[in-house]
Amino acid sequence: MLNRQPTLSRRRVLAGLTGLAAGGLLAGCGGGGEQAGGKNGLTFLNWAQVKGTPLEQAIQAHEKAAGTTVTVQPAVTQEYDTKMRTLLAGGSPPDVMRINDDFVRGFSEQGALLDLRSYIEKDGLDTGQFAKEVYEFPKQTDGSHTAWVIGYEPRLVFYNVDLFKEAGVPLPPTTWSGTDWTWDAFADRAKKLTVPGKRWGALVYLDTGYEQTFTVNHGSQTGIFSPDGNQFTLAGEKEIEALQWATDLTCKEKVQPPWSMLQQDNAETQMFAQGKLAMMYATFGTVPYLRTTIKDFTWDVAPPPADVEQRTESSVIVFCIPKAAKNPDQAWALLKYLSSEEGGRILLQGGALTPINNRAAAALAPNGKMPEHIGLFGEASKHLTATNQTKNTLGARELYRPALDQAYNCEKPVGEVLQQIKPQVETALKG
Amino acid sequence: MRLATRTSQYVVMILFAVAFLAPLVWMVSASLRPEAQVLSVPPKFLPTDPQWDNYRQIFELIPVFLWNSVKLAGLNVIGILVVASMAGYAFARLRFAGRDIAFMVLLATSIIPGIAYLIPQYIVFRHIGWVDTQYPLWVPKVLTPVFATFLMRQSFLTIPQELEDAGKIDGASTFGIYWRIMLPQTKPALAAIGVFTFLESWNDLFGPLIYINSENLQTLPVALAQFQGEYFTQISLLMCGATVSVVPVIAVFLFAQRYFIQGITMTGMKG
Repeated sequence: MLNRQPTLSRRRVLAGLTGLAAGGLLAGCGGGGEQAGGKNGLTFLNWAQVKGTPLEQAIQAHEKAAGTTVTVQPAVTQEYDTKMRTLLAGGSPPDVMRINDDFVRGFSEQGALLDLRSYIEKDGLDTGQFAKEVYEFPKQTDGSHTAWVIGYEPRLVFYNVDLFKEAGVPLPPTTWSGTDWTWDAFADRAKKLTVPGKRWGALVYLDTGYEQTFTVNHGSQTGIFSPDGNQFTLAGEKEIEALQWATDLTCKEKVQPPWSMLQQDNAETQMFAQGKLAMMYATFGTVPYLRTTIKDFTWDVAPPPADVEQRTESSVIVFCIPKAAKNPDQAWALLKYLSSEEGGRILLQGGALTPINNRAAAALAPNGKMPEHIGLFGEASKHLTATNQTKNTLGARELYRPALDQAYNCEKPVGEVLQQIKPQVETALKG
Repeated sequence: MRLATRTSQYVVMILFAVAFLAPLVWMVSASLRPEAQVLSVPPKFLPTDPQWDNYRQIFELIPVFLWNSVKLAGLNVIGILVVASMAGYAFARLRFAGRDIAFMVLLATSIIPGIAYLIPQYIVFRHIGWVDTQYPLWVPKVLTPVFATFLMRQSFLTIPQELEDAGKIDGASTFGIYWRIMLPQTKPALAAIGVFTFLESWNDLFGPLIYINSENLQTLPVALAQFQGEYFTQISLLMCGATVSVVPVIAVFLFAQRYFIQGITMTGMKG
């Protein structure tokens, strides 16, 4: 047996494989990355691709002006938070880091984030130029300012102009006005725009932004959580009424897509883009997708319908400087630039966010593109709800949002579901 | 009666085949549709106006990521086959003090979930300068192939002792017996390990995400994730990328299919 020649020489195979492996190693399989940070540069971790976006242009403009180098590290996955936590715990965080707004309070209390107050004071920054509610979002109870908002995405009602005209329904207002644009008027128009089996009149209930907006507009003082982050106020009377109103659009009025149809990513924007949804309450960030996708009808935006109030919730775009950052001064210089009028004017070109700088936000204009009333996103700065902060927002959300499925699926009233889950949510809020 | 049984068997198999193939067909179909038509209700499997340009865009974006994935999968497969086959052979056929305890300890290490030692491991790699290199994506895996070692040990145990004895009588060294007599008998197990390792490396999103910061070192799963933008997901392009990424997987499976199935069935025969 030992003398038999094999049909395929293993020696050759081994030699080939060894050569391949060695070749791979020599070709730099370990491979050093691009030089990051350094004496005259900083590292910048973001959960979205930066290449080809206005954010990249703004960073480049800062690099040119400040003579610095920013090494962008995109970590575009749902595991971004794990990466962020690993870098912080591993002692080598980037200099600037995108942070989920739900984590700001928790990370601040752990002492992981740099307090920016000294920079704000040293530079004598005019904070009056910023949208107040979102500027104050990263302020902690001890007065520290542990993160930095560069922009926000207000939620407005996106609507299909052609469907309104086809159904002979008056268009929503083009200013932040509640006259003739109340909850009843909204529901009435949704009914007229609904064609059973073909299209839905409106979509309101989707994310936590709707919960905050519609409860505050119905007279809630707090929205989902109390200002100290310890109480689950969504289970209050006014709040339950607001959520039940939105749920009834599906369960009673039949003008809103069933909850089961909205469980896939992008389902609502695809419905809107296909002309199967006449009105949709969504964030500014939806604009680029609709601009790219919709070719055959006109669409526009309007403020949310008014009740006791006419406010809207915004998603905030927050960055932080970790305490262990190697180049905090340069990191601060970048954040300051991104929130300046000049930086904000670059950021708004993507048509996806309102810069925190009000002077920059005032420059929001359609420039020949839809939506015609894009300026409403800029004016939203005067109509914002305060964003909630708790020690464990995600933990609370993981409890009450799945529980709400029963209400959204028309199985139980909202009040019953929220009252039942309230004790568990408040335990979770303790962190 | 026999015909009815056979027919019902085929019906069940066809139903399973359709259930398993439907997502794959949907993926290919979605990759060729305009973005607004991807999630049409009811789902359409045949695009009316195929968007071949989606593939052009993908091939402009992914070559470097594709190469990194191929390179890492190759290194992992080769490294693990070499290390696991040697370790498996030693645990199955060589006699040395503490062999069985060492094997138990080896198996026990697989009980610890990776996430539990992620941060200590990250700190170690940072100290030795491996962060933002591709070393963490293959060196630790190659040097600690627990499952593959177990599979190879089981495979070596099924080979008759007489073969090894014959080699010894002919004067073969331990390595010679391993390499020239024993290893060729374990092709099915090697194929199974090769396919598993390839799949694990190919689909690894977590490792590259944690250890690599530079875009030029990233792999295909991370590149695909980049289609999930800040504000929306470009589903048609994502499906294009996913279609491209499954082609090598299907090719590897088809190439090793015969041995792979044998390997799965045989390695559990003797403990």
